[in-house]
Amino acid sequence: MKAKISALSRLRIGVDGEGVTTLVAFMFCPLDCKYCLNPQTLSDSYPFKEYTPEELYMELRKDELYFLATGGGVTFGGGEPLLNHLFIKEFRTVCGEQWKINLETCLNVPPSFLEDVIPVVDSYLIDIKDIDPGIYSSYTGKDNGKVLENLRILSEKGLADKCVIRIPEIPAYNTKDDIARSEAAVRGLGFERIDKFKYNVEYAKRKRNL
Amino acid sequence: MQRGKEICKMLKEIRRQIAAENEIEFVTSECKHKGSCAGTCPKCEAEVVYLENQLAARRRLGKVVKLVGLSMGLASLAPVAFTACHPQDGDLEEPEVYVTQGDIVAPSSQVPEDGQKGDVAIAPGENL
Repeated sequence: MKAKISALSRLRIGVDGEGVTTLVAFMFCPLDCKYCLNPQTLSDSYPFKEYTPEELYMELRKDELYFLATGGGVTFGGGEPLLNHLFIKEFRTVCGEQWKINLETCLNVPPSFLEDVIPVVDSYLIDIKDIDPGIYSSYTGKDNGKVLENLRILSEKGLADKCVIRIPEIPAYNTKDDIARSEAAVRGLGFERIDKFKYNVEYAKRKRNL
Repeated sequence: MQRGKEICKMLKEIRRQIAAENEIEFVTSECKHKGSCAGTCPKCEAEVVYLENQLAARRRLGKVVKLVGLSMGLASLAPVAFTACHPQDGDLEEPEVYVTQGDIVAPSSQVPEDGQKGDVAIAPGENL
């Protein structure tokens, strides 16, 4: 089994998970967000490298001392990491139980993908964009039905406390009132760890070279 | 590249803690590098390898190795939000270093010419 990985970002502290983490950025995403931070992951015209779970483990273990000492580990992002659900599941088998595995996900994948990794993931950073289907579709080009379904799955399995729900202010797409509605909806599902922030449009545009 | 220096300092402190808790002789020095810093460098990496070897030696001798959770407090002191994508209290000023949640940034401005690599990689051909 191999996964296409666009980048590894080592020694991240306080960015995307507890302790010292390495971000593993997978290629490809089901969404086409207008302000995507990593547009280079959307097309395989950008360079990537293929790894097996074992090869990735060998690459990341150079920071194992930091992972273990700080309660850190690996954050799978991208791109959409859940497109590589079987790879992540296998990676846990290879790396053992001591590394934390975090996911930065949009949850817009078939529920079976999420259910595959639930036993091996320690925390979830979930960017829901906006709960309103119209806003979501306008910004991402996709429907958010699967996102809502997957949020329900996480809630029903009692995993809400492992999740941080990120609700962005998306310039030109949503308003403070929309954000408040999104927050109320996810709180209604039992999620209490909410991270509200604003997309940096200018930075995203520079990265997309618009 | 203040952020890289901060990361370097925190990692050095973690190495010191690991050494102290495991009674490993560990002599390090303040970094004299003046330019940008990606958080690690060959000297820092060599210290990690040294510690790994010393810990392995302790295990071979049947000694207890203290490692898991040793520096939890230190890492939690790190600033959680230091990005424009993740502002605090309405502060939307651009950060000195763009490292955001999920973001992978080009290393060009953060990897000094003397070969330090902190691996904020964007070009797999060079960094992966």
